[in-house]
Amino acid sequence: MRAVVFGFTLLLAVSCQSRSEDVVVYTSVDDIYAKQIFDAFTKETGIRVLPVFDTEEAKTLGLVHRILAERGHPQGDVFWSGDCARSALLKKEGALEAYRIPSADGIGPRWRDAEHSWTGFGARARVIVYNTKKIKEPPGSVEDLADPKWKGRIAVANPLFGTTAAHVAALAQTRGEDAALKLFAALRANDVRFVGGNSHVRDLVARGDCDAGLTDTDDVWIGKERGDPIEMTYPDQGAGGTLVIPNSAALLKGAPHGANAKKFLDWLLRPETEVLLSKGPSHQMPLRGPGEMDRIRAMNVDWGKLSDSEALLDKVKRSLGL
Amino acid sequence: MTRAFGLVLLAPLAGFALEAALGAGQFQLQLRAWGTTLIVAGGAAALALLMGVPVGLTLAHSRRASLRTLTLFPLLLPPVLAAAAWLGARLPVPHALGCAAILGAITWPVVALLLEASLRRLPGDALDAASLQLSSSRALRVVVWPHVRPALGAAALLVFLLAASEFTVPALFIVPTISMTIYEEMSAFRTASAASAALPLLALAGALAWALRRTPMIPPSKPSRPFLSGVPLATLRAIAGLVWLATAIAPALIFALRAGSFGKVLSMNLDAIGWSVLLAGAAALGLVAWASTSPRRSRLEPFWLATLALPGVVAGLGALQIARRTELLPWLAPSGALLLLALMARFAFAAWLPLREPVDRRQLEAAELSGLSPVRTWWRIVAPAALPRAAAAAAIVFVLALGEIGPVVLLSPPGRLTASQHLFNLMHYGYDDVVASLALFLFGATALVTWSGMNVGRLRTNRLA
Repeated sequence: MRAVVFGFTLLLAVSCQSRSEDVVVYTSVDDIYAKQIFDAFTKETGIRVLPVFDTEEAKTLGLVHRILAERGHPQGDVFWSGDCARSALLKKEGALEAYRIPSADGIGPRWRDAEHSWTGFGARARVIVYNTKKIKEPPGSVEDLADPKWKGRIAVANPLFGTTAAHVAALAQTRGEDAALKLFAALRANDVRFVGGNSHVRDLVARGDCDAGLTDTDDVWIGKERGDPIEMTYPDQGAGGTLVIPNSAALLKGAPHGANAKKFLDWLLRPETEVLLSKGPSHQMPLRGPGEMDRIRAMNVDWGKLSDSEALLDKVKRSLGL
Repeated sequence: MTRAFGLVLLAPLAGFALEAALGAGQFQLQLRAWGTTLIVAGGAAALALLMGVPVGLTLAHSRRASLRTLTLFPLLLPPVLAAAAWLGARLPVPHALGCAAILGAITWPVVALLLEASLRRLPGDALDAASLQLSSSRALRVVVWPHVRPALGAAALLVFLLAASEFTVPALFIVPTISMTIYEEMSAFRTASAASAALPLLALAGALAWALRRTPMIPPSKPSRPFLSGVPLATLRAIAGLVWLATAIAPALIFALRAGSFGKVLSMNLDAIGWSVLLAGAAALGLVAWASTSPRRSRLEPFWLATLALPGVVAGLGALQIARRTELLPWLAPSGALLLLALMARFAFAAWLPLREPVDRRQLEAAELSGLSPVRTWWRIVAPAALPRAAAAAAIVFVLALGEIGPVVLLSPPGRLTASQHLFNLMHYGYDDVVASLALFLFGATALVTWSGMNVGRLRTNRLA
């Protein structure tokens, strides 16, 4: 018995060692999207990517806690996040190394950290998804969702987690905390259905259980590609703007495979990779060049402040009774 | 040696406690969350009793290994998959009671298996004596009920703890239970506050461990003494059949119908499947090897149970923090050893419980008096008695480790993804056919491992006999 246990453990240890020609990427981007990018990078450079993925179950807990715990003994080289707030938080905690990525020069200053600790690319946006069989004129702004004519017909994900939490914080930043809290209280009063996640918002709308909802572009695209009767509209194009959430990439401080990490970042931030992401199942929008981003009025947010929204979310929780 | 490794298995819990003591945040009693948790976990325990008791009684009157394997299936069903099925079936959006229904329908096997184990210790002579004087229903009340009551109480408390620490179902339906509060506090890096929220869970785990210390849970490997027959037994079998049909057979059939190209999905995910099997196998074998070397109970049992009762991600975070503070992180993390340790710590109690005290203490004392060395005592007396249980314990730990996600996110070595983690991500994006194929694989692996465990144990016992 002991020999079997020893054998298993040895096999386990041997099977997990990283080599000098590897790069370890911590990513909160889902494996089904990220793997094709990693495979393309390996094919082109010969450098093997060893990813560590987060899961939806861990919400924001997983990788950020891990990276913070590993400070001083970093195991990862690159952090590729599905948003910018977590990268901004890691910068504040001193877990990132400044690195000006040469291939990212075309990306505008509003999508990157001024000190080059992280850089944004390929974005999602917070949109209003609606059922095309049920409504022809969707709500045009997040405030419209509180209109009594939509009473009980709107779905929104739990505002304490994920991109909905980022949306609450962004609204508080751009319109003031009181206005954001009042908006969500009005949504609650309008019998908005708060559900577990953005994909559930999409599914409720696709099934016709709700007429419209607030979700992310990637969730809508997945539904559209499987034939759901849904469409999306960018909210707040008249004033305030739509919240655009770019991916962000950063070099971890003390990265064990630093040279490979820089190669990976250079490769990831190329315009071609943004195009590759835009052709993937989540249709992420390139931040450079002509495209969807030219047609959107994006909300102007400070990602550093956005990463510090615990007090606001406590107020939201109390106010909504969640 | 056994005790030393038992202490090592406390590392994740110690890491979390240390972090809580040193961390920022205010301790506060989460009254509202605990109110909701009482409804969710209490309701789940009640439903698990309703479903698990008929199955446990049926198992006690049957020797079929396939029924025991079937009983383990619901435990493997990711709770969030059951919750997604609820939504898919367009049932009304559930609140606390809906969550209780889902969690109860998944955790009833705990009741059934502990009840069956208790019934195997039913004193046959007392039952015979009672049947001479009393009606069968009175004999049940006088002999069987007092005998199984502690096991049922312990099972209900265990289900309560598992349901209270479950996060995915309350998160999906936004039911603010204590596990949601723990996650929220940890998301905000308020570890002390998260710990204060978890303290009542730890206290309940301590109470459960204390109850289990007084309760002989696992019998010698002999069939139970039948005590039911006729209409009552037929009725119980019918109810048990319905429970198996609804919570084990139906999900397996749905997965089979929805599965896409099963072979293709498996070959595409061979890495994840191989890694999951390796990890779960190492955890199961390691724990069984450890637990089977000790013929006695341990004072550490409440702490092992506490690690099981906390949300999985808490154990993962504790392991990560203790490895960081002891400077062992660079040595343990890249090899997967830290993840293995966290999984073993989390399920130590599940291996320990069936294997503790496999033989009567008097036998050990006799062996000691006759001058047998501890090693020979173990080989000649303990090992033969423990083997069938070791196989069952290995199967249970394998199943639990295969489905675990919480510590995996925090501790996975680079380049590795478990099948459950992959399944969870795919489910989020509605890849129903792949999810169904992977879930079917997990069911198949469970069936194979539990069946093998039971039969290998039985073969060995027969040979020794």
